[in-house]
Amino acid sequence: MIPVDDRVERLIVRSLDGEITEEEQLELNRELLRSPEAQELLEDYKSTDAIAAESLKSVIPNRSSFSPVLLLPRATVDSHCRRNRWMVFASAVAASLSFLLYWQAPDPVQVTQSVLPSPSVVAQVSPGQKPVDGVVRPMVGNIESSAGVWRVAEQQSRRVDRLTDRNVILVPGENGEFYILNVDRVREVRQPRSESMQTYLKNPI
Amino acid sequence: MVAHEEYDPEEPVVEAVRNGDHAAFKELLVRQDRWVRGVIYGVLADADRIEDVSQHVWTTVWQKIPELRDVRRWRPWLYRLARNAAVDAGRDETKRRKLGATPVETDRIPDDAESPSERIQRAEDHQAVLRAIESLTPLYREPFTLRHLEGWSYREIANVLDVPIDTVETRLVRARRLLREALRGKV
Repeated sequence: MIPVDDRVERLIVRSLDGEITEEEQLELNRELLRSPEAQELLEDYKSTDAIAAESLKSVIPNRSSFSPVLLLPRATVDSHCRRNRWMVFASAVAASLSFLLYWQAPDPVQVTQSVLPSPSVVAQVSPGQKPVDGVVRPMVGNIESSAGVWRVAEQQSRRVDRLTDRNVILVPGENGEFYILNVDRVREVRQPRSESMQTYLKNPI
Repeated sequence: MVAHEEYDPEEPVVEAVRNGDHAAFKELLVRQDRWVRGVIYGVLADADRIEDVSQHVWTTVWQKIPELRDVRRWRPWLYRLARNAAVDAGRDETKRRKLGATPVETDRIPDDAESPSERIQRAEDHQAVLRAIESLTPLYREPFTLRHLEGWSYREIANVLDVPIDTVETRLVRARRLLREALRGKV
């Protein structure tokens, strides 16, 4: 089969889309009389167009009704956002929640847990204390707390992946306004930074 | 050839929405919602998620329309909102899949008064065409959807996508060529 010329194909598409001029239509008609391939292409495009339009309209139909949730009182929300000090409080709560969820998030990968010292081992070492072999190992924060343990793991491991799951919470206010809180849940996947850390863990003090 | 702008009868409605007019907002929503959903479909290629994303888009329109400086450019502005929301939703979906959630597959068979065999054939054709459309890249799927869903002219599509009219035409030609290849012997 002889391929249809690009110019003719363009004319066919323009014709189907109603974008063709009179002159171009005459040119296309002449080409269609001359070339059965062009005729076939026109028929193919015509039938595909018809089914495509029908299919698209079936998955994206015109809506007859709309949810009233879309008509939030914008002016109320905006003015309150600007001058209401509660927004500051709400933001602080959101930030605190994000922070809390970050620390409380369970470790998704076993490898992270394997590099964490067990609480009993960690409890034997205090900040700045030299281990028996004389090598000072970096320790930050209160190592007896879970946050301290996480910080140790952070310092001595590297992040290989980070997933953030954002939830939006709508909180109704006293006067019918809404506050939008973004709460981010962050999960991190970490791996040991070096061999020495693993050695250290295998041979605790 | 670059799309030039003409007077748009929707501009006063957009202006009214900017001023907080609920009725105007509903009017705008009723008239413009389908192409907005077309854009979302053009980006996501997932009909099941159109509703959620379009709700998000219209909520954002209501909240952010005071930031629209030039009312004449409301259509590209709305297009960008819809497109960005769809892109974000696509990212969220990718993330959910990473976290192990399973996407829900649904069958969409049109309900009309045809014989069972005709209906099945028609449904299969629809599915094949939709799959082919969804296999296109957004570059071709977006103008194709706007053209076939809303019957927009090249100029209207160019205005929204902010590209020359020739580019729209080229993308529509290529989209049809790709669809024809994808559907050879199937429809």
